[in-house]
Amino acid sequence: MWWKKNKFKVIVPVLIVAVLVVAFYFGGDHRGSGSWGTDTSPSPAAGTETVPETTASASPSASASPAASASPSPEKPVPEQSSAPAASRTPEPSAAASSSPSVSPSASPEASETPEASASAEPSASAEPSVEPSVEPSPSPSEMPPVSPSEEPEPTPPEQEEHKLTCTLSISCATILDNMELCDPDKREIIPSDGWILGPVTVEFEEGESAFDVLQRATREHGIHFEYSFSPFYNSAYVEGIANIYEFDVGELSGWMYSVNDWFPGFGLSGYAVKDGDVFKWLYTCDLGADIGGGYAVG
Amino acid sequence: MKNRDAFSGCHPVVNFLYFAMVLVFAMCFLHPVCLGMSLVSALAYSIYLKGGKAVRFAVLYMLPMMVLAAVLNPAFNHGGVTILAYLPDGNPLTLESILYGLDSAVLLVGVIVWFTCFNEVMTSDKFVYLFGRIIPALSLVISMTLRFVPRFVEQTRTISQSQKCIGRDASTGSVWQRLRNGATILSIMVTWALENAIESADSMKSRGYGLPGRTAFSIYRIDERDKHMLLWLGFCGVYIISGWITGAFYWRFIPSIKHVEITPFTLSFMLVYLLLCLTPLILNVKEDNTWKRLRSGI
Repeated sequence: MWWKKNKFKVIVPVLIVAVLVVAFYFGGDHRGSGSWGTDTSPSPAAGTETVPETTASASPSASASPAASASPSPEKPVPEQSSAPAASRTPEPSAAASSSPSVSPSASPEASETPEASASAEPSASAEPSVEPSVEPSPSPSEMPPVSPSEEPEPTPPEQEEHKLTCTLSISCATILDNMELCDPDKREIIPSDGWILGPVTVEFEEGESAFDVLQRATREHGIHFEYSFSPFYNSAYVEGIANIYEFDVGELSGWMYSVNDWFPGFGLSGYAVKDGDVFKWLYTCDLGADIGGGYAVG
Repeated sequence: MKNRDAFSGCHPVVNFLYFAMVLVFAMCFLHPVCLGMSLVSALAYSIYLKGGKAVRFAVLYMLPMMVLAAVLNPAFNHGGVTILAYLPDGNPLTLESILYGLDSAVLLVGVIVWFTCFNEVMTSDKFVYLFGRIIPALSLVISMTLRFVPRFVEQTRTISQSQKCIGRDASTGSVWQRLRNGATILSIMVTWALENAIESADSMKSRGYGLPGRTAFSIYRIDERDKHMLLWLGFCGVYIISGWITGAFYWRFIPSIKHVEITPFTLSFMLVYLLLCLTPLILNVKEDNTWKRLRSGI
């Protein structure tokens, strides 16, 4: 009698709980999903803490670089554009010098650290790290002495005219190679075997262009598929997919991120004004940036 | 509604099972050959059922809808490895997304046409007969809802004609006048619909509708033909679903077009699917011929 009357009071909660349990166990395709398992717990910690996940050698410099370069570039991209673009070899130091002399020491570890960082980010590519360091560190140490005087921008303008502004850009999805089991079966065949979609190439740009313009031009020139959407809230483009590899294709924590001179900006690519000699790396992450050393940018 | 065709004369279980299968398959198979077969047989059956009205419906509504769906897909879906051009917003226009759009347009139209056939065949008495025992309240609500639309249309015609008699129809006068008259008719209709709903709900409640123990009279019985149909549908269902699981209907558009190779084995699944889609037509044509033969023999 009681059962007949209150049947639904029992059945409905049991059904709801059953649905929730099923959703909890089968909901996510994140690795180790189904529980707060052992291998997922370190990665959130790495995301907030930035460093512990990345290799020991890279960690101090990685934590230093955002602090050093984060302060100048997002706040005043425009003054840098107008004053510093200068010679192709002096982007970093001039920016650091114009903001404050105290930053310049932190800029030098950043430069010296780049080979390690690039090596840790793209372990599979053997040839590339040799290319990138040649672009970056060699100019900056040579310019280090002239940086210290603060009237450095003055002599450079004459060179500006004859010099074309260039930056370096590479697109890599090497992290997918380690996470093939998470990858969408339909996309497996289009993933390059070495992880490189576009090796480091030099791209010319005009003054005042953003990282988005550079990426779009580079992908068009090389016939690479690129889809974006514009998000008005952030006033920036958002990269949905490059070369048909889209966000969420390799687990629910996957997507495209970019680093500039091995620093991961915490804002959209339309908000970054390109400086001469910038090195853009477009990296596919399968773990919210923690696997490419950019977990701090995700927050 | 009269059962003009032989398939409508089958047991409601047969009708419902058939449409359930066909609709699920039509929605799930992306293979263009499957979609083409499904669309063509759905159109043929709806033309058989409704004649010229079906053709008019297809040309007036389905064709523009198909074009719209085919055009909209590449505007929002930019996946695919073959880049043809770039859209004004900077995203690529790909061959795969265009073909995918065409394919899904055929799918959409096919499903809608199948549903028009479903409405024609699965009348509300059949529906209530099938589900009145299991979900009495829901089947009552569904049959009332289905009945509401034609009744509303009919009543609208009556009201607007009687308004026309006193010169207040929406077809005469200035634009403002027409709007006012149209609004009057709409207001009358809403009032009528509310009143009618309350009245019929009271009336049906007092007659015991929606109660679990209520029985309904029906003269449906499963005869030999229905048994054969059930066997045939069961065979088709098992065969096609097993083919589905083994990937005989596999077709992928994004990122690149990839499909199952055509072998006699996969073709056999296609053939069974085609026969399933054409089942009502085959049955109807067969019975029409039998009837003709019998009549000419008299």
